[in-house]
Amino acid sequence: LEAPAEARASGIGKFFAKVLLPVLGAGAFLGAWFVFYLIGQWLLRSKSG
Amino acid sequence: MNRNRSIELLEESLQILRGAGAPVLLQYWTGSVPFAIALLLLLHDAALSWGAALLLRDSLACTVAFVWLSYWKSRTSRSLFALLAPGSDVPVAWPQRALLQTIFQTLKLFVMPLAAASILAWPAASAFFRTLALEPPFPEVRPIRNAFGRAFTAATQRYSENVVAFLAVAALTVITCLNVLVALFLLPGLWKMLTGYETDWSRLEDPTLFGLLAVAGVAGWLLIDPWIQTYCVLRVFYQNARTDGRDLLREIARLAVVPLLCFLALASPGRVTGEATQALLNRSIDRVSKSPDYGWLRPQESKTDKGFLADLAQKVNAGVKVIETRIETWGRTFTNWLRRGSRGNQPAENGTSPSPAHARQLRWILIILAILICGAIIALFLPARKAPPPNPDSAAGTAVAADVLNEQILPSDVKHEEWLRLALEYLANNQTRLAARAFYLANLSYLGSQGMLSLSLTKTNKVYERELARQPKSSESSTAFITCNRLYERAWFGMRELAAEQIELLKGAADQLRHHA
Repeated sequence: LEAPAEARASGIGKFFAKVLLPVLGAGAFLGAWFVFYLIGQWLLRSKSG
Repeated sequence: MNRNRSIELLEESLQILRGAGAPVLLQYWTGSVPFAIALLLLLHDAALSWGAALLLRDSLACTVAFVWLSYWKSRTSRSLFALLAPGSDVPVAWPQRALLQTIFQTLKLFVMPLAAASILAWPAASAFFRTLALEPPFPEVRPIRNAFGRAFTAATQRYSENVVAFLAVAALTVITCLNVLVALFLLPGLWKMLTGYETDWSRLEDPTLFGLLAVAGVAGWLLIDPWIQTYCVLRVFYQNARTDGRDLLREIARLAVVPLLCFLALASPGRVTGEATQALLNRSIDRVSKSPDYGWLRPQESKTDKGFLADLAQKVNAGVKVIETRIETWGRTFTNWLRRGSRGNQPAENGTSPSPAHARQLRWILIILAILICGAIIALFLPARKAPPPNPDSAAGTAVAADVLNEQILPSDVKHEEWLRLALEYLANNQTRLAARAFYLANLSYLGSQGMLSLSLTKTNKVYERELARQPKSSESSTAFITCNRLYERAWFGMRELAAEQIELLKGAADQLRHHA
């Protein structure tokens, strides 16, 4: 990942680009998966109910 | 004031979207179509009896498609913004854009249901996440924090204006969905009328109805969402313009052409005169207007006059004209040919002699045409013959052994007489549960052989009953069939034997079914 230009020199920028962004992204992905799984569960229950 | 401004913004955003043309829309649909398909797949699979086993896979597909959608929505938003403010687009590495958008847009999945439930918060929440799709606009130290700040400001400023615009778009979305729904309702009916084939779609049963509603909703979203996104982008543009004055630059850039033309006109008046001056001026204007600095002149013209739809309409118009001309030519040729033929052996008025062979040809053609038309009329008014029922011998020709316990046998694989014989055998042995099943299979086999039911291992009794009820004059047989089914279900699925009076009722209903069907 390329850090934002102005922040490239700073340690925070590197930390953001290399660690924080991927970790948050992966978390968000799992969160989205969880939401879609819940929607599916709800659909299944509403069908059987 | 707010209402007018919202409608103006909506109109302007639609013009911008039209001007942007197919590239931007394709970019948008590249992201949204896979998500729509994944969502419909989730809905479809949830309706299946084994849907629970597919849920993990489908929800993962939806998530991947959602990330893909977020990325492409962001790219489309940036492209639209770059159209409004050329030079504002900063290239961002795709992983950074994808990750940022995944983080931003996933929050939407949690927040939007609550916002939609509260209704009043919905326009602001939607505008908030749509503005976030523009991020990251500039490289900066705290992209997430600053992005939230900018999006919050953009979403909450002029709240009432936003509400009016979103309500208008929501109303248009409903109308679009209804249009799609009507088309989806009409198409299977037309298909059935034209081809005679009935499908699950044309039966319009409950699950199909739900599917149609889902498809209409998704289609409406696919059509309207780019417009709402453009509206939000335009709104952000005007809000930013208060501080960076880009809207003024946009207006000034248009006005700049006047002094430029004056300058070109006055630049070299002493060297050339008259027509030479005019030609030189025209060439200079052409050259300058083709330079990249004044590229905005061309898109502005093409946006309003020569969009993708205008080009398409022009091509269609040209095509129609060609066909029209050709038909006219053929018609004229045919009319001339008829005129020559109808004169027969008489001398022509203009002095050209008609050929007798030609007249004979025409007479024969007319006779053949008359025969064909009469044949078609007779065929049309002849009573429609029913397709012969499938030959029971050929159906049973596969020599499948009758076995009431084998649930993989299609009832029509065995003759109904054979099922009845088995039923009576079981009754003689006092095995009423097996006898009930044999009666049930005999009924199905009989109705299948009469062409009243199309048998399938996947169909339920409820489906069979509805199928039989749709047959003309089937009320008595339908009642008997339902009686047999209820007794069979009680015995077979209830794991119990039937009483003597129930057996009598079953036998009577089975006889009645054969009598009426």
